[in-house]
Amino acid sequence: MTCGSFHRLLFSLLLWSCGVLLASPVDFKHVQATYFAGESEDLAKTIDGIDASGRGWSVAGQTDRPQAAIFKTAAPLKEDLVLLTLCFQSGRAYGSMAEFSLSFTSDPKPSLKGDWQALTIVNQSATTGSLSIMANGHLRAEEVVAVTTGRIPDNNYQVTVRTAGRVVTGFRIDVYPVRRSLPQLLPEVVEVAEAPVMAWAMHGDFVLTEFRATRITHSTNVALGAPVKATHPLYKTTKPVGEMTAAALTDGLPSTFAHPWQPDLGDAFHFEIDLGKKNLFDHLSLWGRNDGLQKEDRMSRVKVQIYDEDPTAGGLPVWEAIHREDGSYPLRGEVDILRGADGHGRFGGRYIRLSSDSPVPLSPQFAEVEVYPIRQLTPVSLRADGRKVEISEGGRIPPGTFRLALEMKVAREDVLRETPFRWRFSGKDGAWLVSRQRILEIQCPAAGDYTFEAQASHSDGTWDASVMSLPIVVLAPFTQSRSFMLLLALCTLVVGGLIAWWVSHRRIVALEALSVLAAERTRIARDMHDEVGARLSQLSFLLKSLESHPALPESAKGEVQQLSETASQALGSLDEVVWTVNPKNDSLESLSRFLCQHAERYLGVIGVSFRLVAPPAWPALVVSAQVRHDLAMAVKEALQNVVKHSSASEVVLTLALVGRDFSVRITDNGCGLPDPQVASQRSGLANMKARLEAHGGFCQIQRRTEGGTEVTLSVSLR
Amino acid sequence: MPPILTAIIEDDASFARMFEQHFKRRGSGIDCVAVYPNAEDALEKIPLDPPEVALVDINMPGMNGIEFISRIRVLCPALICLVLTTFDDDTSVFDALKAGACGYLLKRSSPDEIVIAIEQAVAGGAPMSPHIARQVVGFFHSRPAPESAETLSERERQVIELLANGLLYKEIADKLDLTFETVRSYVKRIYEKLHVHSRTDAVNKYQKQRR
Repeated sequence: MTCGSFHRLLFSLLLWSCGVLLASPVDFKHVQATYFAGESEDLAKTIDGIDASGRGWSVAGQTDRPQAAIFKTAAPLKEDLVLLTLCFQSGRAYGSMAEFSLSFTSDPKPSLKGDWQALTIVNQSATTGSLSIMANGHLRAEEVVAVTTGRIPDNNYQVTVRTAGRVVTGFRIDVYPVRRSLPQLLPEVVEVAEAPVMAWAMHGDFVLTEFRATRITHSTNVALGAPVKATHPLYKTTKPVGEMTAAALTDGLPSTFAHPWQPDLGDAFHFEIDLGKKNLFDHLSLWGRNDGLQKEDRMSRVKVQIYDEDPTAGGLPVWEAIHREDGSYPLRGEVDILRGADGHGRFGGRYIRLSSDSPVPLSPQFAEVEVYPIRQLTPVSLRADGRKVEISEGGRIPPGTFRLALEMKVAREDVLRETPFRWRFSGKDGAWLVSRQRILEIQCPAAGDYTFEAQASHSDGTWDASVMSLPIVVLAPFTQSRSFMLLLALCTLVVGGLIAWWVSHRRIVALEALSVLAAERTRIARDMHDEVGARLSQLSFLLKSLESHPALPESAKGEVQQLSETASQALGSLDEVVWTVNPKNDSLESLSRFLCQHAERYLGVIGVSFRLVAPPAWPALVVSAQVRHDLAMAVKEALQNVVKHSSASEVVLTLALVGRDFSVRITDNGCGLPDPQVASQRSGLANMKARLEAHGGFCQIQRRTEGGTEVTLSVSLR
Repeated sequence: MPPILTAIIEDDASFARMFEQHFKRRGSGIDCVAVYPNAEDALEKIPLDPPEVALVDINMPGMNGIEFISRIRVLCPALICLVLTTFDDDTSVFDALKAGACGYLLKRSSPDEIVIAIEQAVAGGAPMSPHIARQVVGFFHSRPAPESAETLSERERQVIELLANGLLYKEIADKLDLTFETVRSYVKRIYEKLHVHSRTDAVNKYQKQRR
């Protein structure tokens, strides 16, 4: 049979720190004393939760005999480690107990005459001076002499104790009178000093202002404090006189150990632990001697037998293993952990026998035997955003849940206690997360199937082998379900298709309308040009021709001339209309050419020099007929004004495109307008201005400093 | 001075007749030798007895005026072609100039203007309006690394740029300290260079089409 040897770090330190973090005070319901000075309220001050007080338990007047006080807990205490604090914060210097002892009872109704057992002291300290443990188990405060320092030497005693697995219903303090050893320092009060005192204070009395008990850890080791028997006498010494006790195996102290007196008993010797009741075990821990005296080899070939019934009365083992069958033994600091699989049978019972057939003399030797029953977590309730979810067959979480609250308990225990547990969603990321919350509140995972797993821990820091599994199905909202996604995709396609069709249809209609319009405009322009234009120009030509006809009578010449001019003007107007209407000219290039040609021709006829400043090429921008027409009209108007009013000899036409703003600047070297402001308000200009503004442009008339006028006409090409 | 022999290539019969009648009047100085209703006819018959000047309508059914000019210039290099155009047919005008036309006339022009334009063309005049000049500038500007013979000289470039800015020949002459005639000869040379380019283009284009 293979016996597992497990290296394990000592978790007690970790648990200690965890325990301190979780420390919770113990409530007391009653305090009673053999004697107290003052009123009964004074005694009650010791459990009022306030450390400092002028009053408390004092024994003034009876400091010459032992006194005791008992503190009854409001509820039975099951903690393994408890921190007891004795506060002496009355403001009376050195008014703290000189010698005292601490004990506890498990009596349902603690009384001064009840069954009190000494508490095992783990450590002790005092805020002033020091506390030491005497051979009789009493705690003694270092003797002090009152001196004036200006600082109140209040004292607090802190004593960490073990309850050895027993339930505590009350704590007890016994105080013993002491005699001063330094009377020579107080010659004037020698008489007083020689009297027995309860405290090292001048007055010899103490005032206990508060007694507090704080839970540190709860041990899940059920062997703690359990009675242990040995078949044969245990090792003893004569100088000094001492004898090992079997109880060392369950006293919770790794520093105490036991082994048989006779070196060669073999497996005739055994220890037997009675747990008091049957349990199913998670694991057993066997501690060897850890003091470094090289006697670890006495924990080898250990036969572990577990019984349901008293083996002495003929009970048979239900589980059996031989641990470290190969003769190996744990190294110092190692703790061996045995689990059910390390032996045969059902791992659990009430009695445990430990023996060894190891050839090593004085085997077996143990410092501690710990028994950890199964701590199986079970779900109590599951809430999804506060709504209770049925969990008997796994939880089905409604869609859209934000938070889950899962309450669990340890089977056969009322609460989970302070020991942490760990949990995970298997199949999510698999990582365990540790928690101490009685009700685990977590974010609801995304829709899917999960198994919630949780494991309880033991006070020795191991995780219980049992795993709680709770299947959880987080339902997907309909909006996340596969069918919805498909539906959505389908709808998107259909709607998208419809929109695309509608948009393209509309665009086609618009384009058709546009091209129909363009075609129509082109046709009108061509018809006007070809039919009207050709005839009109013929008419004009003929009239001009007639003007100079030698046969024309002088009297008719004037009228023919007028007729001819009118025809020319009509022709000019027609040209402009045709130019405007023809969609071919809907470009900046065409507009600029038109303006240039017009200025060139108009100014050329009347002999005004014309300059053109314009880029060699224009971007392909569409300029609507409306804009072209309005700008052309404005430019014509502006040129007419120059000719009519300025008597300029030169005109510069500057065409520019900045962004989408097309501007025409007409500058002349004439006399300038008398008042540009007034000029700009003339109806022709006002009209021009309004037209340009309608196209997001403007008309600006300025007098140039070097003489002449500058007219800027601008439109925005959208 | 002998009358200038002129042919009219124009599909609008009434228009052609009107011009013809005006030229026939005494003292016009222009002798209308033929009127062709389409370019194909003209291309066939003109080389047989070329006139001095051809007034060519741009828009004609069948072969248009531009193609006609580019072809007749190969057959009759001395023929002076003037394009007849309508007011808003500007791009075609430049195409015609590139094809070999020496000037253009608006159909809207008065009889006197037409006669003067023909006389000037024959006299070696090379009229160029600012907006045409601008297109010429643009044309040479866009030519990638042309042969030296075909690029504009520094003087020609100066002249054409001033033209594009609206300056008259006289003003350019003053500005560049040249005579009026020199300016005009520069413009003529510019026209020729334009033609050289364009003729090559046109021939290439023509050959491609026929292949």
